Amino acid sequence: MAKAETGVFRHSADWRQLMTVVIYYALVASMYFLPACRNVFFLAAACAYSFLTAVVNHNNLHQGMFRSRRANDLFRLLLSFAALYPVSANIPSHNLVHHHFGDDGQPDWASASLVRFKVNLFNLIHFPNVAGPVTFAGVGRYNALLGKRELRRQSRIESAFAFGLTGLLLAHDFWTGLFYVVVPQLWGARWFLRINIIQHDGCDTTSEHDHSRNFVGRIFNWFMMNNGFHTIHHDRAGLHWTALREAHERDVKPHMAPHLDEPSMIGYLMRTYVLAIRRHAPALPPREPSSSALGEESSA
Amino acid sequence: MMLSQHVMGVACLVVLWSTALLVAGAALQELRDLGVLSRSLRELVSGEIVTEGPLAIHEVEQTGHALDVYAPTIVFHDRTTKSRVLGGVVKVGDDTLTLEPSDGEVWVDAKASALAMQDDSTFMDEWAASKKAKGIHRVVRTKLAKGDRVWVARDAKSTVTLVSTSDPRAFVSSRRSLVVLFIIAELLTCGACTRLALTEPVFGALSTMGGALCLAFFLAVTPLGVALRDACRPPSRAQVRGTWSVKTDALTTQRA
Repeated sequence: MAKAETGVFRHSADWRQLMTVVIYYALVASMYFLPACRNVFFLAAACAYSFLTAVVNHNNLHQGMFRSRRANDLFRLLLSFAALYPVSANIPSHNLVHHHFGDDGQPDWASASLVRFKVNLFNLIHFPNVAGPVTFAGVGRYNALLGKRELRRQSRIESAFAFGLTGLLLAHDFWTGLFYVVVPQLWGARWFLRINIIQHDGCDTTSEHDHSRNFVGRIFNWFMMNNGFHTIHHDRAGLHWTALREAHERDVKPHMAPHLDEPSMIGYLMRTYVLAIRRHAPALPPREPSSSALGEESSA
Repeated sequence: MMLSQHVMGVACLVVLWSTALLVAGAALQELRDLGVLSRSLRELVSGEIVTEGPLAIHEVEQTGHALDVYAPTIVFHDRTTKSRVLGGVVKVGDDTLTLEPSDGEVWVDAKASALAMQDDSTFMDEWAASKKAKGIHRVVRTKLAKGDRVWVARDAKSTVTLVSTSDPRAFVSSRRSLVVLFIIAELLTCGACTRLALTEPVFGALSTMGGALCLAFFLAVTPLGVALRDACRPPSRAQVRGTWSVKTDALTTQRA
């Protein structure tokens, strides 16, 4: 676990988060400006780093990595362009609603039960098509409430930056912008939404310890900044990502169902969505996810 | 391996059409559910409640928060919804039908009930409370009682599966039409955008316009699919939500 420092970052390990975003921007810029970089390797890397940038986005909306608030706000602009949506939306949708699942009658906007195809691969592919609109509708209602003026202001600035810069790139060269900027942006944002179904489908979200699936591979978690340890993240959302593995081993593993620790996400995806064909995991409780729910202020 | 514009264009069209077909597939699921609902209405009867107490109750638990607009307004969101058939007697033509208690669904106009329960004389107190993070809590309760006209559906064992204040067949019919229309319009629009994007010379001005429309379609079709899903929810589980505000002169009186 990294120690807190007095420099630019709250934790010295956060350089990895910054580098992830820098690499992503470098890949996208290379493809947009240099025709020689428009190849499979660059595009695959840009899509992968777009997803990893969404992980950074997630971590930073829980806990800004810079000591300066202004730096965190500016960093959110870069994250918003990276994912093509105002990342402040994560505060109501992820921090306040998702972290509480269905607690107190609040339906999760990213519940795995939003999709119900018999072919499970279709559920994985289709999930962002439902969870995205449900989430943004909920975020819109949350942001309209009294006391959310600052959040609305930040969201507007993020939207202007994300959509403005993307629009400029499309206006300058539509097809290059579409293929090498918008495709990676949407890839990362949509796969990050899919993480919700990957980490919770078939889990008991009402349970204290079995509400989430964990992916515990070391290399995977180095790139993912320990976001594979999802149970402990739900239980203690404020914990810095560097502390998640240790806390998982100590506080979660002894109590959880062992099968919810998966060694490999790729292995799990293949087994669950390609080889199994049908959705065999039990459906979540028949709560109808609502697109109307508004997250209450909480300490998540 | 270099990526030509043609390869990327084809890949994007595959993603576009996969999305369009999945949204249409999800709409077909709604159509299937409406079919199941329609079959459950075969034993439908209509009559007037003659029993004294409530025959059925529909409840929506809501939380209200103050909206950040000029005129004081409370916006409500639904938390849980419950239907209960308590049992009673319904007069059907010259006969009477005795209904046993069940977990059947209750279809009512809960939005009307929500409006009816808003007492403007209490608005300022409620509004003040709704400004807090916890908000205000209310239950929109609709009781079906003596004199109400209802439609009742029962299963093969005569268990009540549905009590409705409107003809449920009309709901099923209108939603079926909506879903079919949506699927046709969605696929036709996707086809038209694709056709324009493939106009010769590909990647020329017209083709670029088609590409922009394809992107717009991709971003717009999923919220429309979700809106369709919400529209197909049976009235027992439909969103009630609602807002509550009072006129400025009424507010002045209350403030005084």
